[in-house]
Amino acid sequence: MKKILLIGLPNVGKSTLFNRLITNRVSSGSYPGSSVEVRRGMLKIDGEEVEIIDAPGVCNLLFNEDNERVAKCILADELPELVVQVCDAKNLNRSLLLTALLADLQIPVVCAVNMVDEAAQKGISVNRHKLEELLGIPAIEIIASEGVGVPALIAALGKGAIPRFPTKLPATLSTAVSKLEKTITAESAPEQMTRTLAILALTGDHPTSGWARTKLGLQQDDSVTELIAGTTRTFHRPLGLVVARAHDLWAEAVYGQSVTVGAISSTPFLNRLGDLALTPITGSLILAALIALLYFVVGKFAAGIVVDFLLNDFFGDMIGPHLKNLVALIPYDFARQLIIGEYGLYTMAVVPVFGLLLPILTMFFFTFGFIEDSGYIPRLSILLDRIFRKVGLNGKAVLPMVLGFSCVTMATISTRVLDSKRERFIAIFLLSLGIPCSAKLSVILAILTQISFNGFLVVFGVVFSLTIVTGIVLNKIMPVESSNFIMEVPPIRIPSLKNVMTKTSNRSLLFLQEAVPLFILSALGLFVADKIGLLSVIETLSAPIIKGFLGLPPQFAESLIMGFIRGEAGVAILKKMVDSGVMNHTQLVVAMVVTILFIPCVTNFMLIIKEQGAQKALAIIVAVTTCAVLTGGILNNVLSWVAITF
Amino acid sequence: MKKAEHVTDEVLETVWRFEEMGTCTAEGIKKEHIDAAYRVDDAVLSELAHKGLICFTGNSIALTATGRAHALPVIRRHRLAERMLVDVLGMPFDAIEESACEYEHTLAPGLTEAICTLLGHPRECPHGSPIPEGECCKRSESSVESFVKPLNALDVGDSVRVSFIKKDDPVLIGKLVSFGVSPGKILKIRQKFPAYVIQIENSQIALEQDIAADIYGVRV
Repeated sequence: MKKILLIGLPNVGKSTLFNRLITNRVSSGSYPGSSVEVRRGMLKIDGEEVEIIDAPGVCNLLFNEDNERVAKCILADELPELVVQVCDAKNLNRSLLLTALLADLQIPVVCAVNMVDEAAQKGISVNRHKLEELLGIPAIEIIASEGVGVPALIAALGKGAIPRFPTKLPATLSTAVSKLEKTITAESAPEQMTRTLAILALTGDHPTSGWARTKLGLQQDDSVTELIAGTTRTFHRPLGLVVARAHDLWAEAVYGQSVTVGAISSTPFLNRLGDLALTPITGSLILAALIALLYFVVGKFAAGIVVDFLLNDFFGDMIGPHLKNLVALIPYDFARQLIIGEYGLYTMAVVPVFGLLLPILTMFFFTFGFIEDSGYIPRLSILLDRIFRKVGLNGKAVLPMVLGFSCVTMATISTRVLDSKRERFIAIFLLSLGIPCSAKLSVILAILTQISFNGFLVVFGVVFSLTIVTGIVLNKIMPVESSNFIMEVPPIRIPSLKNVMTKTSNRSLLFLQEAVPLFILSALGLFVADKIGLLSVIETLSAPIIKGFLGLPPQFAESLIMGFIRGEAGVAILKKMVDSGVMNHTQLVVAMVVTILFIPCVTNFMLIIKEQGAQKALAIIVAVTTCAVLTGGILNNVLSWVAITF
Repeated sequence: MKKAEHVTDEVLETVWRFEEMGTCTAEGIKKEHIDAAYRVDDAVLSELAHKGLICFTGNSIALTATGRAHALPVIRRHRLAERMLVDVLGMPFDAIEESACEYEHTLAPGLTEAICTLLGHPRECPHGSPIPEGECCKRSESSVESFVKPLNALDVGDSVRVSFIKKDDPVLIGKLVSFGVSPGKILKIRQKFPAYVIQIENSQIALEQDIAADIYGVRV
């Protein structure tokens, strides 16, 4: 089957175009040997099915970042018939750097010039005929978010050509590249790629074990190592920069001839708003306003009104009795229990997923989608960069942390945006330790605000300080890995409702796909554990810690186990315990702290294994659990020592 | 008419450049100087060889250690002069060659070091060729107030022409280049706290302070 690779810089609208192009989605998953997500889908052209691959955003191919490595692997191993390079019309010169590299690859390219509407707003117009003439490839103007120009792009897919690019590398480097090219004998290297591979081996590659060198079968060759070292010495600087510079000069020339910058029809109000969001004082105010918005839409409306209706009226009064009557017809008690028993599938999987999580998450995704689409998130990253640095992260970690308040599992996936393994580890650790997901949070808030404001302060004060301290400690003890905070600040835009809706439904569907099987599985597990008496065994075994150290009733074990399956269910048990007098308010405060700090849920646990590997995942689980129990125990002792009650 | 030592300088300089490119032959050297006001022929070359500045191996010519020591300051002056013309005077790349050729013979050693310091010890000429290190670079002097300053020494609202980036990390440099931050580009500092925000052409880029401190430029 034919393959078409979508490639482009980050934030040029590649994924939006991907969604527009494909007729059905085939797969989405991390590329073998990396945590970089690659999506694949199908497109029918003249009755023939073509696979579309959405590569991760790459700035370049000359350096050895994760995303770049994956893009290079797809190019070299899967040999796509065509590359569609998606460019941002506002910054065409930057995209051209990548075009220069693609030209060396000898693969046909079609250029999709995206976001021509935003470019026009900024007074930038791309002369696509001139561009086609200069590059020798089709260049199609599109607005991917609205689907404008996409049919024209599809029609042009058959006309892809190898970009015309007169490489003018400095002579010394050029000679070195030719020398290296001559030594290549490996059959693993596709013939048309040898030049690029030689350039890559000379530039961003690891000197001995780099990707391009391995591909070329040259990793053991000392003469190559010497050639690279010698060439680097001549230039006194990274060879990648020398190549990038040569490409840059060409890109500037093409840009100068094909793009005109005229009068700007700007939107001063939005620009002003964008600037205000960046400075500490006004930025904090805007942040506070957005948090308030999230609180009302997600906390009050979704978690309150909608969930209340779904749980009580819909599932409770409308579905519940009918289902009970229906199930009563089944002659076996075991089967009846399996469906609607305390740990049955309906009770443990269907109701929590559709009655609680789905509405809360959908509303969160919807609101968050608006905020995301407006271009606000990068500004928040800038605002909080310095603060995040204290805990070993940088501004980019703002996105996963914010997402953590909706669903820690979702946030764990999004830690992939972080650059270094170190940051991903710290972010995942802190997410599972100190960030409660919206489902859990809404129930916790509902209980605490009814009981005591001081209790609320103590619970969140302890959790927040512990998270910060843990971050600082991790930052100190983890080996230093360089990570740089550079990000583009997109213009503030009015979000498009349609876009937000699509995003929301995609995310909600993804959540259902991932969560439903797990919920069913864990409900079955708990059902079995309950039937064979494992639950009460666990309660007895954990009693010394729970009763002795934490000063809590033994039933707290049940809350923790339930909480491991669905966070808010565990909290709900706490409420029951307080209502029935098994637990007093001081105990509740301790229990809340332990519950928040404890591993969020089984889905999250599975994802940590997937993202970090079993070994690190286990380390995180052990550390987080120890932290939770120790903090709870210390809090219990301090509270009883100073005799504070709530 | 060029003075004799100028001819020596010119020829040694050409040999140096050709060596950087890989191969240097007598034919190449002669061809390179064909339009010059002075003659470069076999006699000139063999005189240089006689002085122990170059040596012949078969068809190709190489600088001897003495020849290299002689050519180094010439190359250095030439490329520093180019840097100065572009960074300080904002001349276009293609218009600087002639003036730079003059400077390479006339700059006094002390003045060369002063210019080098003023420019912040640049490591390459505007065309991307390396500038040999001088004594001042090894000492990394900064006694003269630099004309070329890092972004953190400039103010919000300043427009800056980037002169060079003082970082060795290829991944970071790659990112900067692909965000459009590379020597010769003009950027505007919009904000310095809590992070740096710079406007470059039609986009805004946010940077942490550490990176901003390694981007050197001239106020324009």
